[in-house]
Amino acid sequence: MIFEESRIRFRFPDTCKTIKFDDSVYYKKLFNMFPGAKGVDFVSVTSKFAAFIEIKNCLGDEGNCRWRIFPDDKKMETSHTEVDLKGKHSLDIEITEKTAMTLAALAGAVSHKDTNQSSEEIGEMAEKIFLNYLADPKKIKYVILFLEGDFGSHTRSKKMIMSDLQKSIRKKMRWLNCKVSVVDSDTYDPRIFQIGDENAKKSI
Amino acid sequence: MKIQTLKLNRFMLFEDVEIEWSKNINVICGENSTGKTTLLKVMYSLLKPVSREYSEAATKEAEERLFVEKLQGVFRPDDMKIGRLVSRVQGSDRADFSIVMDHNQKISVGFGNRQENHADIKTELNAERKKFDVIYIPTKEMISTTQHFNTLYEEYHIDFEETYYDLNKLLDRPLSKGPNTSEQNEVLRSFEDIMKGQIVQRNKKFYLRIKGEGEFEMGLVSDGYRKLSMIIYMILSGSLNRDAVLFWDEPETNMNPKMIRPIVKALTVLAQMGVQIFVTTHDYFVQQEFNMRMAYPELNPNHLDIRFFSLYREPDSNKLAYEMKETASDLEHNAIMQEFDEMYDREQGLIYDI
Repeated sequence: MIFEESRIRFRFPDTCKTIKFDDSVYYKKLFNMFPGAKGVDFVSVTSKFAAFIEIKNCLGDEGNCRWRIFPDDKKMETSHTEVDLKGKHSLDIEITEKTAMTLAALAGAVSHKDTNQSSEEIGEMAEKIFLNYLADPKKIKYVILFLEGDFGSHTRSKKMIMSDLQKSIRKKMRWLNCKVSVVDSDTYDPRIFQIGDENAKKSI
Repeated sequence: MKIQTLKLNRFMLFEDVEIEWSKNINVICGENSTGKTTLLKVMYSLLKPVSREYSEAATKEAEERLFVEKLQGVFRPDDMKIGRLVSRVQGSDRADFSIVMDHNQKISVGFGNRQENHADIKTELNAERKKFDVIYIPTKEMISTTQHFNTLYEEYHIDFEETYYDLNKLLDRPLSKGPNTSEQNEVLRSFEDIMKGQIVQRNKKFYLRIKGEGEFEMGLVSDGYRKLSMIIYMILSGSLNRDAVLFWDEPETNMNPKMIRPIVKALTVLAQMGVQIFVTTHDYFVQQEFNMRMAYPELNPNHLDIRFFSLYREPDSNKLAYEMKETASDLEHNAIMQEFDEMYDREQGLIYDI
């Protein structure tokens, strides 16, 4: 399946069932009634794992996004940016909130599975996630932040930055039995998704 | 005295290298067993015999003895055979190495691999050169053992490299007469700010005097503080002055990362004062504190020339090589930063171990 998000083409393997979560009818019609509702970009399941995936493409706009990459809102006050930061958070907090709300939305979709047409599209997948993945500690649950952008500096490489964010998200996600990963176009795992066109296929 | 160039040919791990140094600060990085400490020790061994502590050798034989004994004492080869310092690769039967200093001064040493205590020495030094000190700070501190170390070293065979003995002799010097220079005072302030106290010496023993708390024997203060105390005392006793060359092997040893920033600050003030500094490090903070000064010129208002050297082995031949860059960020082989990235990669491998 191919989706476009933040100007990047994402190709999910045929073995995956993937939805663009915030484009789903259920999200738009029901969950979005809740003020402040938000969710991750993709939910993807295979027989081996369920993945909650958020995409951030800051390429070319790194200057305005620098406040996002320092965990725990540390640079909200001091980073220079043209963005209005009211109500916004660093990526570690944003991803945690989005994952929590996505799970809440999926729970809602399960509750509506046979009663509301809006939940048809994701109801079955939501039920599968709850019954087969969340209820089974052996099944892998991924929370993945795909962070594109040239954030490396003189003193910290991009991988150090991604590692810091990963640690901070993991800490905030302790309430869920999951694996947290922050990746970019150089480090993503092609078994979860691939980016670019068919010719740019990363070897598995 | 400033070292400009070091040439090593078939000396220990080095097959053939020529390194041009900064007259201010040189930061040397690299994995273990890539020759960082060897670089410091070989330059120290060449420079120390012509430094302030040594009187001019009267004959060529005496000069040869000075250099050979220094090499033996610093490197401590088995049975004190300097021939063991010749590179062990096939076809190597002789090592040659030299340093070129300012005013075209040069010291060259060469010897064959069967030599025990003979070397070919050639010195081209200005007769009117200023007296200068050469200081080597090894990884272990010495200030807590000053009192009896010299006697022990002189009277018994103890397995300590001569750098420890030489350092101890400098710490045994009395305080110099006259006021400190303003640069010396700035360095002293920086160090005393870190330590929140002053160093005093009494009856060959050192104490840290903390206002309101009294005096603490060096054995009672932390290793990190003891190292800083050594620097402070060498400034006070006049060893660390504008003409000195300072070799500091892994200053980060036993230091909390919080202490690295003021240490680097103090080292840059020493360099401003005129001291030529060589530092080896495995530490992210040491490397990056220096790097920031080159990457952001506002942190280096006096335009100190700080150079970053990385020693590494060529992946195919395993041959030792080096690179020099003006910022650590430009180093293509940066073992410290690479390890951070490799740790990230290993972690991703674990996360996606499906």
